[in-house]
Amino acid sequence: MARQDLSAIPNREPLRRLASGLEIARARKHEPIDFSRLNRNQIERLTDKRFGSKFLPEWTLERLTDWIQEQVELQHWTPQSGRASISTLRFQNPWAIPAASWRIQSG
Amino acid sequence: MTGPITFQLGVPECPVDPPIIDHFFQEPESEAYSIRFVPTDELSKEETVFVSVPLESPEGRQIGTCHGELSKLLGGGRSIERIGHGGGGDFTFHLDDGTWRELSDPSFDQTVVRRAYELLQHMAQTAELALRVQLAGGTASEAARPKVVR
Repeated sequence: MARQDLSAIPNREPLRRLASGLEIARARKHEPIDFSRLNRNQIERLTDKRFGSKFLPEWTLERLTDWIQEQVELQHWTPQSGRASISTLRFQNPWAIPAASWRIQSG
Repeated sequence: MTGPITFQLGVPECPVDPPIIDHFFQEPESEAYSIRFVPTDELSKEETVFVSVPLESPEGRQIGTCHGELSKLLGGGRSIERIGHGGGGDFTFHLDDGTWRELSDPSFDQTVVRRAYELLQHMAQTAELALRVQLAGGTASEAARPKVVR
């Protein structure tokens, strides 16, 4: 079956609905930008708290969605109204800018 | 397959400063607003924090008033179900008929956009206040104890 074009999904709409009832929502502000065209100051500004940290370009929406689903299922997360969960995962390689870690969070 | 990524060039203007609403919604079965927001550095260095604000708390009523005005302003008669931050001054408003609108939509009058930013800022400031109250063990009820991610 053909996979859905995830880039057509609006900001904060579900990229995928999991069997548990949880949804993986698109967060456009964390998607990759072209760092090669930016100087250091611009990169710092575009990854600050107002614009949001960014994944590097190799993190396509498909890859990101698959990875989040895998992590959520590994940790047996289920929907909990009005509650947030968080998990911090550290990588050997800096896959997200500015942090060399990524967190998945619900709520 | 994902289509081409659209890269932005340079740094756009950012009309908002923390606290900034990151994700706002009310779950149908809940008597509280669920709000993830970008906190001021004074509150937290984290990128976002989460707070659940009871509808009937002082902060909840203020947020409800802003939510109602935003729906009138941007919803064209439809209620806003969720608000999502898209980075910088970019916000998405999801309406109760399943459609959505972007604040960057050029059809919005700039007066409307400015008022929307004011309301969003007020909602975020109120959410941050609610979290401070809850963290301080203030007037918030036991049900409103913070579900905080820092």
